[in-house]
Amino acid sequence: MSEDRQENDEVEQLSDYSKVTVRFLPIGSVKKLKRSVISVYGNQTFASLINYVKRQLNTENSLFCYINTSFAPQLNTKLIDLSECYAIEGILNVSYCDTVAFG
Amino acid sequence: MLDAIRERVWLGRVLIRVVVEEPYSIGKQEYLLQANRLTYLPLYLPEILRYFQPFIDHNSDGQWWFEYENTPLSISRPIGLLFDQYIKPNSSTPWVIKLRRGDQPNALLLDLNNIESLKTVWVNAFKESAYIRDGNAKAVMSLSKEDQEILWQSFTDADAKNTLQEFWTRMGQLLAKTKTRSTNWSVPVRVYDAEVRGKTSQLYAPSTKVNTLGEAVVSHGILLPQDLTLGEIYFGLVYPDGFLHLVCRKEENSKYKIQR
Repeated sequence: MSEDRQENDEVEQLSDYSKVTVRFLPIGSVKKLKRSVISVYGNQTFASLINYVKRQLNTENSLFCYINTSFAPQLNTKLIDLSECYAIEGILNVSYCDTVAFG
Repeated sequence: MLDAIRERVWLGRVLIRVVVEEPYSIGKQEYLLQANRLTYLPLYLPEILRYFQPFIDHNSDGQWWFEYENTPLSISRPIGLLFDQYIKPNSSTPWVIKLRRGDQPNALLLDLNNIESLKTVWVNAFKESAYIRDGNAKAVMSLSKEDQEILWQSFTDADAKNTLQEFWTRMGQLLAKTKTRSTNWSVPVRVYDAEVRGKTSQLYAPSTKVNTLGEAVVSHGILLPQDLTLGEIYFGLVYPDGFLHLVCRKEENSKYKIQR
């Protein structure tokens, strides 16, 4: 418990402009990204991350992105907030798919 | 006690005066609404537009959206939360918001007329909150489509008064495991200042008290007692998306104290 709290305090000190490490994982038949791990500014939103993947895949079609193969956060959520809550060993796992994968 | 709190939360309503003005309408028009705190503004749009129909200027077009004092109101935040962000507790006058059209601010990001996309936002928030509680979203993902639909309908139906049982039977099952774990679980919390910004947090149930969040914390229009832990208040005050939505209003702290 005390360890957990210490971790929390450290996270508090990060600013919006800290960088966040994101790992992209394709679901199903979707193409793998050339760079599957990137580092981005934490003040970017989840929507901008989706647009990034779309650009990399060179597609205009809908893309569904999930955190830890579980849920899609609200589009205007900042990546630093997502990273604080859901990063595993410092990496935010974002899986992506061209159809709804987790209803 | 818990049942009584849940019932009060379920029956929470706010009085809203929706105003539409030129150039969107012929003259200034008003519609009074008693809105369910737990639902979302777009769900009331059909009813509002039906009333305004004869007054709408047909030369105007585009999406409708709501604003309060020049701030666009988020579509995906429950009405009760928006009210708590912008209006002081114990306010007895209606909340006056404006209906506007076209030039939808990017911040809204959602099509106001598309109830399905609103439902998707709710389902995902519901999974996200389960993930915070349990470390995974399996409990929610294994809900049947039918149960998911019943949960959604229970608080979004126009007359969602007698549906408390339908919601809490299912929600109670989802929370059963959490409740037996007396320590070391995280409470799904979204904390907002009185401004627009909100932040998702997972705060430890047994150790985080309301008073560690700021001086005055409001949820469901209630100034929360400061000595309770978030774990204790979660089971009564959780919103239907599985989150506690807490508004910190530091600047008006002294006023609140007098009211108590």
